[in-house]
Amino acid sequence: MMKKFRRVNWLSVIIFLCSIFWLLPLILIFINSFKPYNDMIQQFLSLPKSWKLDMYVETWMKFEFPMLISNTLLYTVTTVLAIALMAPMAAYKLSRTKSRFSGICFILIIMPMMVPFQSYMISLTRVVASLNLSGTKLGQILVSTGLCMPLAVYMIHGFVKNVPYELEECARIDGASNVRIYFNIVLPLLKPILTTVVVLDTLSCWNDIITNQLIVGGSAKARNIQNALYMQFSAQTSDWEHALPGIVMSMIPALIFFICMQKHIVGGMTAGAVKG
Amino acid sequence: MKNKKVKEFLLFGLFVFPAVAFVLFSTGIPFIMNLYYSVFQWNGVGKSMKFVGMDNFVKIFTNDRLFWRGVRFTLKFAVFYVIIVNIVSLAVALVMSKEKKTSSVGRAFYYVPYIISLTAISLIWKFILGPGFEALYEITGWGFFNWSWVGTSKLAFYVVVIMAVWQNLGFYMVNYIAGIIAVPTELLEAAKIDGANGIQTFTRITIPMIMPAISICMFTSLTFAFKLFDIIMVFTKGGPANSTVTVAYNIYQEAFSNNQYGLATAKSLVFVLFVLAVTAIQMKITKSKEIEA
Amino acid sequence: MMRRKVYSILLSAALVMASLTGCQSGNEAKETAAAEEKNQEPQKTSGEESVTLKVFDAHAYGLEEYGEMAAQFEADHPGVKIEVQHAANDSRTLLQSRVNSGDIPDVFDIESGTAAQMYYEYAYDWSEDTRILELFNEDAIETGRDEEGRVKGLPWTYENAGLLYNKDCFEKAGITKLPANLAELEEACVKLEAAGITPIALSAKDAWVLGQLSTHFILDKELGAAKTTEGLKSGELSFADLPHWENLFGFLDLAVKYGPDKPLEMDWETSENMLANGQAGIISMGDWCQSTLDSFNPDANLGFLPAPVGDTEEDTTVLSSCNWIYMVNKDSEHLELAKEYAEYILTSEQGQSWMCEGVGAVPAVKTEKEVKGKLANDAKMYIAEGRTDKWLHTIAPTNFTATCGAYIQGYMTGDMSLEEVTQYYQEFYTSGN
Repeated sequence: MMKKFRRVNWLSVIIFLCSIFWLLPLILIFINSFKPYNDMIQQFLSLPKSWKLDMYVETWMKFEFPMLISNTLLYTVTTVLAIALMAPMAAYKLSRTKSRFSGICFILIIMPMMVPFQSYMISLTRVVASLNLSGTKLGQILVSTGLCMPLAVYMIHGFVKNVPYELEECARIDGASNVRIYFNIVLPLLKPILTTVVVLDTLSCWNDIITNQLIVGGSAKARNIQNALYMQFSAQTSDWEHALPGIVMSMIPALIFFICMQKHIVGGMTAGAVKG
Repeated sequence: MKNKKVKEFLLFGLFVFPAVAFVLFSTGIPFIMNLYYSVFQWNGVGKSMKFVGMDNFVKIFTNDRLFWRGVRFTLKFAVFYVIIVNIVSLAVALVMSKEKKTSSVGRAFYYVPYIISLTAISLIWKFILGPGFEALYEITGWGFFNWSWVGTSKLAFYVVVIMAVWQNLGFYMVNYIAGIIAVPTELLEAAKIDGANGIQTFTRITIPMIMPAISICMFTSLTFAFKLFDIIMVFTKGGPANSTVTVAYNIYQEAFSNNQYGLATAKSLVFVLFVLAVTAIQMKITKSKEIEA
Repeated sequence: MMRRKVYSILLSAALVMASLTGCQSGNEAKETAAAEEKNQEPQKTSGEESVTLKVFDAHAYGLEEYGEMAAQFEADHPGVKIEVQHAANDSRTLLQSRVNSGDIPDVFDIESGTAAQMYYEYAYDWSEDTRILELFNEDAIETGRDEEGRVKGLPWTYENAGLLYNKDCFEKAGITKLPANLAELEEACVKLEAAGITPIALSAKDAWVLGQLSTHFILDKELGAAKTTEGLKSGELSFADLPHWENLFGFLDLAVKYGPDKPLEMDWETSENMLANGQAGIISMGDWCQSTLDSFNPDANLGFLPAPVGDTEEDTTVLSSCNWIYMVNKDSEHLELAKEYAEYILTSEQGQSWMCEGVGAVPAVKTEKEVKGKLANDAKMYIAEGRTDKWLHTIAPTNFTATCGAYIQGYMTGDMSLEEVTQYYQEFYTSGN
């Protein structure tokens, strides 16, 4: 008994110690967000001389944070909702339909995962422009939904195989329509993977720079947080004094969201495991 | 009979086409446009393009040192990354799925790189590898802390691998945890009663049972490796001496720094065909394993 | 059956796209023609309605002064809103994507020379506006001229590139005379090292810095920047024949020998920080980093060290150019307003204080205003002595600094030999890009 207890702990201790290495950036960013530029370069690892919130306040005002947050929130929420609605539907149907056409559709959807985004950036801006969506919030939402779709569908697609088919059959015999079967029986069973996808896409939308630059780059009213902060950097200057407080502030909602969702992932996953 | 088929197709369309439409809009159509641009010489800005036929492709195969260097780097990176990230994240997931009380916090730690913006990550790494390693060298006296990790062509490769693993570990970990938790405990207990040791239960039961998760992680890690761009863009800039130029970075440079958009699209087509071939093989292999299980 | 359907869908999508792109270029041509016709129409009829002028600015420094300047313009023009995108880091990528998205800024800036050429076809031709052109120094206007001699962009400020040194460090090390050749430079390095200062801190992690540095050694002063570049591009000149080319490698050897322990890890931020704090004696940079240096140490006593490329003091160089030009989109909906804005930021009192005080550089416009930047003032001395020429890296083939800087990195890491670097430079210049 004693022996087993010790062995489990030993491995865990290593992994937990290692996890500090993953947490380190968070701490470093936080302490450096209080330092003047020169101190940051000279003594990156030491604690700041003072913990004044001046730069936080200044950054908040200068970048019009309330607007940035509401923009970023809008993009993230709509994109994630769109993904959460469409991706499981597609993944479910594609997984259950065994035709050649279905296979082609699946490959078509996951194909973007293999194409470097940088190679079609310009073409994408042309497509967006031809629909008169450049510089608009709608354009940003549509594009980021499209870009998040492949991974979401792919991940859910793999999971659907674990969902027992018998449940659907029973419901069908009871006379439930296909749409109802999906929403009442299948979707709840997909919850664990859906939670993972939602967390993933939320974080990537929240931290998105490149799509925002490409699609709404010119329009100050439609920028998101990271894009606005990123504009403080150039090949020859970096305004870390404003960027780091900005990054910390942008991280707080993401962090809170993640910690909240974390429990759901665990809960959802164990619920999914009941399938037997 | 026919009616049923039509109905089925409509249902299929209702479920699948919205997703397809979004993908077509954001990637499909731009990609088809790339096919068109790839036979032109175009700087990506001007109003006029010059039709050059297959010249761009000829140039890629005959006179493009940097692209092929990028291909070699990307392949080598893919091998290292896929192996390391999958092993490490599986190990972490095994522990994290057992320790229920503390694992929630631990898991969140591994996800931190996902929450931080990339510009900040590159800043952190610059200082960890610079003053951070210097301090560690002074404390421990271990030689490798004093190596020029980012400034040497060979070592820079490992920095990129480690950064990529570090950054993405959380993603694979969550996938593996999802897989491991879904393994029915009765199976594991039955094995224990039959006298199987830890390693046996792991290889005979856990691995086959989490094959779907492995399949997902293999595929996503492979495609990530082939498209590696962010870390290069914000951290190494392809340096030193072009030793960390990846294919995606090379394509980006070609399109936006060298202003050869036509050539860049041609490169992306060549590369996509190659990636398709590799991932098709990989999927075949993992699929066959899944069925076995 | 299904299969055919898929093919036909894909095919029609491809056709639609092809026709779309085809039409697009056709339409654009028509639009351009139409826009050119109505070019001179008065635009300010809608004085009451609000007008948004879209401005793209590639710089991320002097931002406060820029903001004040733009606000002043808005105050003078009721109903006009200035929307600026400061796009420093990937400015070229972003400008390129904005042009492709049809959202061409009304006023935008781009590095003069090779990079600007692509945008000439979108730019308003200032050739007729002699009143405005006369406000600028003649040589500055030249940087915005296209091959036919039309003025496609208005110049911003002079920027000087070369080696920077910390005067206090030199004094501390007992160096009284600035080194004029490599032998003297090595002497200085020895003295600096003895004084506990890193002698040379090249930011070798940034390939562009090395690429820029190499242009000092490419320049053949007899020919001048433009002729040297032309000769190299056409193949009439070869790198082996350049008078100072081999000294580049001598300089790099010194930079490695007397540089930081991990030379290739030094980035611009750290190198500028070391210089400003007196931890490094010499770096390779230019006066554009004045604001960063000031933020590190406002009291740093810094100056230009003309690059010791040859044997004598006459050979040493500080390279100076107006390397950014502001273009006005000729198809702009508010062309007159855009022109007015460009003129305003580059020539007005507010514009001059933005350039002289906010940025701290010598404006291209003729001015009596005092320039705040210490480095810019320091460079004036050498420019007056004629130890200068135009920049080479902006007129070199596309993406010179990054491409060739990587070769120099290769030399510094030992991956490439002198001969290989020379050969790659030669290939790059004659590649026809």
